Amino acid sequence: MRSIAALAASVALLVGCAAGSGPQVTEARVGQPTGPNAALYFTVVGNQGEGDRLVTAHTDAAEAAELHETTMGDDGSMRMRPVEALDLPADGTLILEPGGYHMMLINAARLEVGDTVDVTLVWETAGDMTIVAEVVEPGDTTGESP
Amino acid sequence: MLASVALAGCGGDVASTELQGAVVEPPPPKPSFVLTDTAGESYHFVERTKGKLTLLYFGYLNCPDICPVHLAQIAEVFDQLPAVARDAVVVFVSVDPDRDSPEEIRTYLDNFDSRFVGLTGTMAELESAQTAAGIPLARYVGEGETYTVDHAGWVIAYAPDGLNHSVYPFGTRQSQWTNDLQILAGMGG
Repeated sequence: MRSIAALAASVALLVGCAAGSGPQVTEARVGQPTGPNAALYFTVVGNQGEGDRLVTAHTDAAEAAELHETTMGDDGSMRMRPVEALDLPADGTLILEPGGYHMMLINAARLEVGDTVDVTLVWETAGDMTIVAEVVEPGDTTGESP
Repeated sequence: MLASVALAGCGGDVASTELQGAVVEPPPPKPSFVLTDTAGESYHFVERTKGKLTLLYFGYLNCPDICPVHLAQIAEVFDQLPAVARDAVVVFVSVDPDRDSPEEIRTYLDNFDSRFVGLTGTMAELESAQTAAGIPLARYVGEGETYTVDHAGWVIAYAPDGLNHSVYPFGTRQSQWTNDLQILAGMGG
């Protein structure tokens, strides 16, 4: 199990957008697919005092990409639902992580740990932004230390 | 945002003598149900897991967010603690019989640990098993091939004494799994 420090170090080189303008994406990672679908996670930090809205994404590594949210129902059931878009608050942070938001990669390609995946995020204001996510072990998507 | 179910303890590196999962008091006995394993054979849960540390989880293969993390965490403990793994059984029940074939369940579990047992059944059999295990019934939401399945998010742990002493909601840390499986393995019958 890799530590968050190792994960952060590995993804620090993979930030997919130019510094200084638009949302900044870090910690982009895809859990190695164990079934038909995979989940992409990342953290976005807004800047320049303006918020933005993540509306969709594209990648050659899957048939489709959908924004999803997992929540817990009153009875403890875990519920996964598509969401239309995700808001990035002005100067705030948007976190996609297991048990919360994720970008579902539907019918994902065969991916091995250590592979990288190009994903184009589509923002309402900032437009298209290509990020590079690293494929990690299924249990390493949480980004937590053990 | 991780699951908000409170877990006892903070999951530090120091081994604890107490369970850090969500303790169930009084501990219920194992549920009695019969499903079909990935080889197509009947699997009587109580008989086949008797005297063994047993982890029971209900999920589905199209779930990319919650299910793989649980199974990967348990597989990691099995790698670290082979003596515990030797006398333990992990049972994954697919609650998505329309999409998850026995062969696909087998391939899925082999991603984690080929010792993990995969079960399926008819919808009626699966509902019976979920009821026996005391979890909410899976619900199928949406249309077409991309429907999602609301399902219990926690792993149910039975010690070798056959009792469910603790459960593990999503958000359980690796160190808590490591700590608790060693304790549970020692709670003999």
